Amino acid sequence: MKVKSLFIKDYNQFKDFELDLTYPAGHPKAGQPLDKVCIIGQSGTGKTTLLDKLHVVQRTLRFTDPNTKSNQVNNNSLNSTMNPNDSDLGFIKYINSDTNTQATFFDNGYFVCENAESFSKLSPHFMSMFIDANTGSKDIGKNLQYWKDIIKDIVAFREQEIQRKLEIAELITTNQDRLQEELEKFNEWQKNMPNPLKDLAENYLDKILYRFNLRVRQSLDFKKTEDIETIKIETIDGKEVPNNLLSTGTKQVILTTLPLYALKPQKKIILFDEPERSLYPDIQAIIVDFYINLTTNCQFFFATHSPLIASCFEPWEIVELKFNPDGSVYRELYYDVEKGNHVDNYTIDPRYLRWDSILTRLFDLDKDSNEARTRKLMELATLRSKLQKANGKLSFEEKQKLQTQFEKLAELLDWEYDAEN
Amino acid sequence: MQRIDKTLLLSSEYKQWEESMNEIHSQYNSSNNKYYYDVVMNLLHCQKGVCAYTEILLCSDELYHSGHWKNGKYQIHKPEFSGALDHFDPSLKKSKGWLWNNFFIVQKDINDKHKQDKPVDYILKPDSISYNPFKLLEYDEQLHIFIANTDLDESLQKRINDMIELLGINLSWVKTIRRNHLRRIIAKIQNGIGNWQQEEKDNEQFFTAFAMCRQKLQTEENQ
Repeated sequence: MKVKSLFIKDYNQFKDFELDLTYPAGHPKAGQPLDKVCIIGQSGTGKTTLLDKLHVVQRTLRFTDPNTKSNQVNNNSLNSTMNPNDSDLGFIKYINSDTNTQATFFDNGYFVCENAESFSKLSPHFMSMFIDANTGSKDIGKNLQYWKDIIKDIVAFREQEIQRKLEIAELITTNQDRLQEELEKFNEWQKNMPNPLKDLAENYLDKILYRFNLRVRQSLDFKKTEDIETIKIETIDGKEVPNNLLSTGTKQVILTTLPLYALKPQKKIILFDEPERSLYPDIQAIIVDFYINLTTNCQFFFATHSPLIASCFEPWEIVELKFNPDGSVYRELYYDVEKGNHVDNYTIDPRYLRWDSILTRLFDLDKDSNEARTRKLMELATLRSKLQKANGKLSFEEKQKLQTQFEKLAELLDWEYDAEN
Repeated sequence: MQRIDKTLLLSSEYKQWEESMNEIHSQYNSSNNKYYYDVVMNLLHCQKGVCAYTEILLCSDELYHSGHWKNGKYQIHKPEFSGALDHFDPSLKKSKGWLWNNFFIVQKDINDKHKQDKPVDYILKPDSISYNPFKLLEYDEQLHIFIANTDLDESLQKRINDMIELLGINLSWVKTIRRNHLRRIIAKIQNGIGNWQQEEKDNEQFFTAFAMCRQKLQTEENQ
């Protein structure tokens, strides 16, 4: 299931707030729910609130269909049939792209499906997954959510591996004749048995850890029993980095990737708050694609303050929240409303902008640099003007001196000759 | 920054009131004064609808043409414009808060966030008789910023450059709007779908930068 639209009747700063979360006309996926959404906006506009609204968890669900009265549904207190287009309540509209089944989830906790499809069968698909990049002082270990799922297969694999190695070790002293045969069997076992640690390393964490010169330790290496119940990180040249010495950014990436490894989400809604936390700009620029590639046909919602994260989105995938004068919020549209929501009518596309333009055009920063730069640019213009007027007025040496000053300042300002500055 | 002629007084009732006040003016309160829009719209008329310092468009000429005044009073109720009334010399705000000579209408952020109450140098007072942008300023058409005329002596250049900075004329966002506006015009001309005369007629903002760019580019073309 994917979210198609959202309506908030009245909740904090959201008043009659409606979000269309489908691709616009003219797009190859026109009308289908967005694959990924980037929520931006000043602090307090409600980015995290939107994620919270979308975070539907199992315990809140009560399923019904439009013709079912409350007394027929688990004795709930529903007095009338639920109309999927009822705007007296807030709602989220979903669509199952496989079956084209639509459903509406209301603020009062009811799910209304348009046909008699088995609600309980659908329920896991409405569940969303919330990933908070604020990993703070958390460590890689058993206090983590999904840790049991993460470590279960790894421990089982290691136990078998240890058992087999012990058996081989015993043969060295007891039965040399069988040793070669058992070694071959062991190699065959290693080849055929899916290695969860290898999967975690090669298909998940190492894809990003190599940027920090790190990787997951795959070799069997333990001194105490707890060692097999954890994940070890090492440098590219094999030196172990204890968990407590991992940088905040490295830990953030690991701790946000582990739930995706544990659950291997398919067709899920994944909510991600501030994925840029503690990450250097080069990692921010690739992190969205990194997470998306770890999942299958999921719908992602990212709330962010990062222009680099925003640059990974198509313009219709950006939900920019802004304050109205009365303190309520609205979504800034990037297309000409009079012409309509069509790909050709969009005037902003973050994928094509420089980072500084994203800051000024999407994030409404009213400066493209520190104002100290402006005064230096005036100095540069003054030197340029003097050089242009120099002929006949200044000696060659004086002109050369000015030219040197000009070039030095131009470099300091990263000023490109005859280009946009 | 264009030279502004403020001698055309359409809001004569306000002017009489201003002159009738003694040495100390009644306290300045923009939201509470019956002459506020008379001052603002008369200024916009004198300034051709643009910010006095940055020359960013603030108001459509449909709202400030002289037909909207009757018996020295502006007639439209709460006209829409995006600007703020600036006291050029903030030191006069307390005692001469309604002084016509000290008023300009400027882009709101220039007034509220940038210029504020910083002390000014009258060398760049846009309505002063001695102010001539073509003698005091130059426009760098690549960097799209104004600087002091480099033919002037260094100390004068510094005073002018300080004032350019204080008035927000080269603020990065102002520069970006001006640069994009002028580039569009220049590209049209260079692509043969516009000419300087027609563009000057149609141009609604950044008059001084436009004129200086035109002068420079036409001189280069003729060389």
